[in-house]
Order: sequence, then structure tokens, then C-alpha cells
Amino acid sequence: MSMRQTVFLGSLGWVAAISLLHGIMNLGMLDRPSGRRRLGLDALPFRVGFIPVTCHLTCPVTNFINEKMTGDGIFVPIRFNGWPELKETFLANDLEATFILAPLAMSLREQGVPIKIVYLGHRDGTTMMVHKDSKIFRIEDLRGCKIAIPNRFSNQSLIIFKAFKERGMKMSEVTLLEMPPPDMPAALYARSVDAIISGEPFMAQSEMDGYGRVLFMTKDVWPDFISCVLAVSDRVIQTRRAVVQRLVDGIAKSGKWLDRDMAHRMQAADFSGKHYYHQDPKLLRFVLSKPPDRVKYTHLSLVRKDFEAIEQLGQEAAILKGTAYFDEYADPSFVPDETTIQPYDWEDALSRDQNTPRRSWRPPAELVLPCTVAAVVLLGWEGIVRLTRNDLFPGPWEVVLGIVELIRKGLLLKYIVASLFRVTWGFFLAILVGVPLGLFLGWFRPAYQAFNPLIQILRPISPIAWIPLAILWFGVSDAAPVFLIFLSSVFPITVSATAAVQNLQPVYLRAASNFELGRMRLFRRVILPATLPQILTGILIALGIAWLVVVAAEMIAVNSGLGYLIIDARNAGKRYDLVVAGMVVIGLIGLALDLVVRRLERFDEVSWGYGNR
Amino acid sequence: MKDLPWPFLREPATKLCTAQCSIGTSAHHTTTMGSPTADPRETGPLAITVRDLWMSYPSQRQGELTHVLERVNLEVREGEFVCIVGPSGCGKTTLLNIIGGFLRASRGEVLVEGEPVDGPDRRRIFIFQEGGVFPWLTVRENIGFGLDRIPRSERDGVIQHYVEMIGLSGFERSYPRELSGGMRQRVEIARALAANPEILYMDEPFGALDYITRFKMRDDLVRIWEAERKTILFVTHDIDEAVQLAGRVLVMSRRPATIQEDVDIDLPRPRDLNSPAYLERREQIFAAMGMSPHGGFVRE
Repeated sequence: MSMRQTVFLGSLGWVAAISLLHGIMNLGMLDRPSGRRRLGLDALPFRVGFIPVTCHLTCPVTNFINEKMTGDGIFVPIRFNGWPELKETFLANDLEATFILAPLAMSLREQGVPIKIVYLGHRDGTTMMVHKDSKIFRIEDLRGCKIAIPNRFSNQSLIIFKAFKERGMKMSEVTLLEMPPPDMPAALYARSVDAIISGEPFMAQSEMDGYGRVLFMTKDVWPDFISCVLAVSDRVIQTRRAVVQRLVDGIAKSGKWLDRDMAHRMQAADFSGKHYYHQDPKLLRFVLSKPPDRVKYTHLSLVRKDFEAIEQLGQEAAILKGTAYFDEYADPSFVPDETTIQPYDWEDALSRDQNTPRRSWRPPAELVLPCTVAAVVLLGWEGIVRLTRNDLFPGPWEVVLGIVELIRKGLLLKYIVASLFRVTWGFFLAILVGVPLGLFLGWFRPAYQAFNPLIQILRPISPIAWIPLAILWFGVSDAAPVFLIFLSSVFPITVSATAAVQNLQPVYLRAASNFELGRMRLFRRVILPATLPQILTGILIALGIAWLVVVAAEMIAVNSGLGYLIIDARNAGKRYDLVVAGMVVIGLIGLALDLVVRRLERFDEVSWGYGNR
Repeated sequence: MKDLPWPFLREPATKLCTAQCSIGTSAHHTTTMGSPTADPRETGPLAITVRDLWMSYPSQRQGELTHVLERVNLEVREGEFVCIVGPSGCGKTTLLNIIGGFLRASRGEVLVEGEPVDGPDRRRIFIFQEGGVFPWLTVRENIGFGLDRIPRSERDGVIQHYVEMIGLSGFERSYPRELSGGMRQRVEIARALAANPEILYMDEPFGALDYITRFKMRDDLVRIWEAERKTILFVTHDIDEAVQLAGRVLVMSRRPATIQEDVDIDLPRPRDLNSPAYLERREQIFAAMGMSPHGGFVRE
């Protein structure tokens, strides 16, 4: 087959195949639409954003119990891994409602975003941890320390402010660092911060693993502390009142269900950890029981004085301006009567015998390492992990087990397909745009002079910097990562195509002009074939970059992909084996992609351009 | 369009020319030694006419002009094989590029087939010193490059004809990088001939080849010319090459260059390189270039 046929058929077949697989494995294309979908507004999904923290536990509980009891989960829960992504998706109107930090919601309202707080999701549930060996035993000992907080608009920063104020301390006496909660335990372990504070279960992680010590819980400093609330956009309140009401009632019933019986809490730990949070149920069981009032799910009504306390503290701490009042940012009309609302009458029968994770299975010992270098690296890796007695960083065997676990759960193939799907589309779009654009800029000097500075400005911007805008523009669909991958690869392709035209041998152009080729023929028969080797080199480089960017691109709250696997494993607490497993798989696929695409260089149409006469 | 590597300049050179020469004035007639065909020089219609051509372009130093050509006049008749020789850097290639339409002269007139030249033309194909064949095309595809205006059914026949003429049967599907330098150059000549041009412009086409290949290529070119009878204007700095190939040799002076001598080589082909007549023409050209064929420059 000629290069043209191979590339054309190969690309077409690949795009079709990977898109189909992604559709089936990750987008549920073949799933039959369930009977609950009716016509009208309710047929639209009602999406609720949450983060895998126990402050948001009523979200999965409501969804799960309703799904089990009636087959209708009321809403579609959308999981996020960090506050910025959740906020941006909410602002982009891609979420009808979301669990969100109370001061963050209030601040958004102050900035004119049309949202209202309709209910609470929990009370308490935040802990400040210090390293067990540190000399910090009282809040006063925090002077001069580094403290990790989830977000400047979090109530966690306000609780520090409140605790300090009551002790005559100033915020300027400590250094605050914003950090995604999943990363906090590792930071504390490495003692790169002195104290960490966030919603559970990330704090309890360090306690369970034996290097964290509780400095205080919210109930000690600010009883009935509110970290997160349920916020809904005004548009949704006006158009879909019934669903909002069902959601709020569901949260109230879930809260009562959780707080009625410790067995319920254990069941919630199991199904939420397994299906929603992707965290070890043991960790959630720990948080929900030790002590039982570490986090509470009753008294979720909106109480004016609670919010006015936040308002006042927020103003003193200079994170709120005080320009929005309770009546503006809160809508208590959905709040049900606390005394009459009944907990769900439901038990998770399956959870009791299914919760012990089986890790005894071992893969066949046929994973013979292909070369000594790899063996040496792996041995060195294992050796260092053992010598340093590092509990968090996994050795190679744990990573292999992690990969095996992913295969057994059927996740690995799904995630590979998802990542390849996004890279494929982003990368192919980049070729479709970059090659013609580059050729055009290379050929028309004025166009080059006009657009080259712009390209050179955009080119060095990391795709990570585009994440907020990508979410605002594309929401949490596959389009956002595709866009980021497109951005990362379109510039190398454009630049190499431009350079290829500019470096064109004049003798080819002269020969062509001697045969009086028209514009189209000149392009098709001389310019394109003459520049193809260099363009292909640019494309190969871009493919490497596209694959490199997949992790960053999937940090956005998509729910599949190898990048997601890594973020998800971070959220899961101490699952660094899966983080490294994801890294290894990404590396191996990168190698495979390079080997496959590099074969194109051997075609006669381009091989002349690579030096070896 | 991309900038051509040669500068365009419309301003005429101001410096007066001292050396002046028009064709025919110093033509050296020698009795023919049984030429196989009548010399078209006397009878045929004019293929190329160059009248009072000047060329200068900005020099490296700001504001100064480098004068390359001054008052060049020449005529070539249809079917003639004319070589232009001259010291390296004298402007031979510039002259050929102007005639070929790739460069515009500062002043003067170039007529081809009686019409002023205003750019490259597929009826007159230029053959470059090297690298003119397209490396992404096979031998067949290269030779067929200029054949887009003839019916598809005839194309294969034409290509095959020229593949055989240049002796590359069996290499039709090879890529240029799989061929030797001489073979590549023959492909370029075949590509030019296949387009059935009236004139071939050749700019030191064998300059990059080794001595033996060059010898062979000259033989091939003469054979092809005798079969096809194209008008050929051939630039070289190799005097032996010129005398071996051409029916007439134009000798250019040093820069600013003009045609200094016009030497008829009315010898039958294939030429006996040791015949007195051959050596006489050769000596004449050496003398015109201020050199002695026995080595060294003649002091003036």
C-alpha cells in the first residue's frame, strides 16, 4: 500500500474504532435508555457536582438509595477532584446544582453570579492534623507554622481565623498554602507543611496511617460548623422547582438515615467508597465512626445566624466583601420541616459481605523483564523504597498488583480507550488545522509576519493554563480535554509546516515553475510532497506532546481516562500504587504509539527527507 | 511567491562597457570535415536573440552595484547546440537564468521564438547542475512530471521511450536516492525531453559528476541531441566539454562579462579528440580566455 492509502485508511479506521469503543465503554452508547426518562424538562439530566469528601456524603447516599429503591436516582452526580474545576463547571451552567464551600458560594453571589444556597449538606466534618512527632499540641503552638488549606474561600480558612481571633493571634503569624485535599496527607508525611486542614476523609487518612495527630476537630472550635452547602442556580430554581425540592428532601432523608444508626453509616461508607468516592471503605468507616460526631448530617436547615457568623468572619478575614445578604444568597423555601421528615427506610443488604477487598490474588510470575536495565531500575526502586521505609511510595511489585487490580476491575481497558479517544480527536484536529495553516503561513510571507508573533505568544502557554477556560467553554464533556490536547499539538505542527515551506529547496520550485504548474498542481505535486518529511517529523513530536498532555487534560472532571486514573487514585487516599500504575501504563502506550507512527517514516514518499541517501 | 534567490533589478548599470562583441564578428570558419548534417546556424530561423543585455545587482556593500553583464549580444538558431564558456563567476549562469525567464535583466532584450521572455515557459526546459529531480517521485513519475497535458494513454509510451533512451530500463520504479549521480542527471534530462520542449537550457548539468561519468554523459547527450535535434544552450566552465559537445562556443570575458569570442566547432561527431582540427578549436578558446592549453595563463 502507498503511504497515502495507509495513512488514510489507517487514520479513518483508527478514529472510527476508538470512537466506537469509547462510546460503548465510557459513554454508555449501547445501554438501553431506562424507563424513568420522560419527556419534558425532567427528561433533561439534573447534574449535581460533588467532591469525594464526607461533607458531601449526602449526595451519593441520596442518589444510591433512590436508585436502589425506585430505580430513579433523582439526579446525576458528577464527581470533581478539586474546587476550581467544580466552580468553573458550575459557572459554565454545566451543573444544575452543586455541593460547594459556603463562603465560596457567598463570594460568587457577591460577584453577581445568580446562584442560591438552598440547603446544607452536613455539619462539622473538618479536622486539623499535625504530624505526630511535631511539638504542636495547642492552637497557640501554630505560630510561625505552614498550614495547608483547601481554598481561600473555604470555611476551613475561616475556622483558623476564628480560632486565632479567640486566642488573640493574628493570621499573619502563619503561612497558608492552598492545596488540593487529596495531596495534604502526603505533604504532612513529608513534613513540607506543619498542619493540614480540610474536610474528611483526607485528614483521617494520616491518622489511620499513623503519622497524623488530631489538633482539633470543628466541634471543639466551632460547633455545628458548616463547610459545604447545596447551591442551585437561579435559572434552575425558576424552571425546575420540583426536582430541586426532591433533591433537598432526599438530602434531608439521607441525613436522618445516616445519623439514625451506625450500621447505616457503615453501609454508606461501603457503597460510597466503592461506587462514588473510589476510596477505601475502611477509611470512610473510620471517619464516620471515630468519633461518631466527627461529622453530622442532621439539622441541615438554613439558619440565618449561622450564615451571618460566616459573613462577619469572612469580612474580618477579608475574603468576603459583605455586599450580599442572607436573603440574597440563600433561598430557604425548599427547606423541609425537620421534625416531620423521615429517614429513608432502607438497608444495604449486599454491603455486609462484600466489603473486604481481596488483595490476595497474585498474577502469574511470567512478567519477565525484557532487559537488564529495566531490572536494575526496578531493583533499585524496590531497594530505595525498602531502605527508606517509605510507607506512601509504592514499590514496583505493588504497582504491578495495582495494574492487575485495574485489569480485574475492567477499568484499565476502559481508561486506555478513553484517553486514546481524546488524544486521537485532539491530535487529528490539530493536524487538520495545523498543517494547512502552517503551509499557508510558510508560503505567504505577509501572513507569516502577521500571525507568527501571535503563534509564538500562544505556543509556550501550557495547556494546564487553559484548563479553566476549557471548562468554561466546553464544560465537563470530552470536548474540554480534546481541546487541550488540540492546543498542545497544533502549534508544533503549524510551526514545523511553516518551517518546511520556508526551507523548501528553490530548485524544486524552479523546476515546477518551468513546467508552468498552476497553483493547485504546484501545491499538490511539489510543495506538499517536498515538505512532507519535515511535516511528519513535526507531527511525531506533536503526538508525543499530545500524549504527554493527556494527564493534565483529564484533570478536568471527566470520569474516565488514564489521567483521571491518577487523579482518582490521589483522591482514594493512600493508593499511590495506582498513581504509579497509571504512569507506567501511560509510558508504555506512549512507547507503542511512537513505534507505530514512526513506521510512517519508512515510506518512500518521505524517507528521502531523512538524510540517509 | 517565495523570493527567488536572485535579486531583481530594473535600474540599468551606468558604467560604460569597454569590451564589446557581437556575434559573428570573430567567427572562425574552418573547412568542414564531412559534417553529417548541414549546420543550421546559417539557415534556420532564430531561436534565441539577446540584444544589448545589461545586468547588475546590489553588492554586499550598501549602495553599490555589482555589474555582472554588460552589453551582451547573441543569437542562436533552431536546432543549434551552443555552449557558453567563461571563467567561473563571470555571469554565465546569470545570463542563462535571464534567457530562461527566471531572472529579469537590468536592461536589454531577450527574444525567444521572436517573443520577449517574461518568465519560465514549458516549451523551454531548464536543467540544473544537480538536485532538480524530485526525490519523492520514482524515475517513471519524474519523467512523466511534465506530461499532464498529453492523454493518459500516450503517457506510458512516452515515458518508456525516454527511460530506454537514457538507459535506465529496469530502474523505472526506483527512487532518485537509489540511483547514482549520473543516473539522476539523466533522469532530469529525460524529464525535460519528455515534455517535448523546443529549447533545453543546461546549466553545468554534469558539473557535479565524476570524470568518467561526465565523459559518458557527454556522449549520451550528443546521441540524444542528434536524435531529437532540440536547440540546446549549454553553460559550462569546462573548455573540453564545450569543444566536445557544441556546434558553436561562445566565450565570455571576466566580469562585467560580455561575449568575447564566437568559435565555430564545425567538426563531425563523434569527435576525434586528438585531431588537429579539434585541438585548434580548443587552443583558440583557451587563448580567448587568456590561458595557454599547455598550462598557465598567458601574460598580457
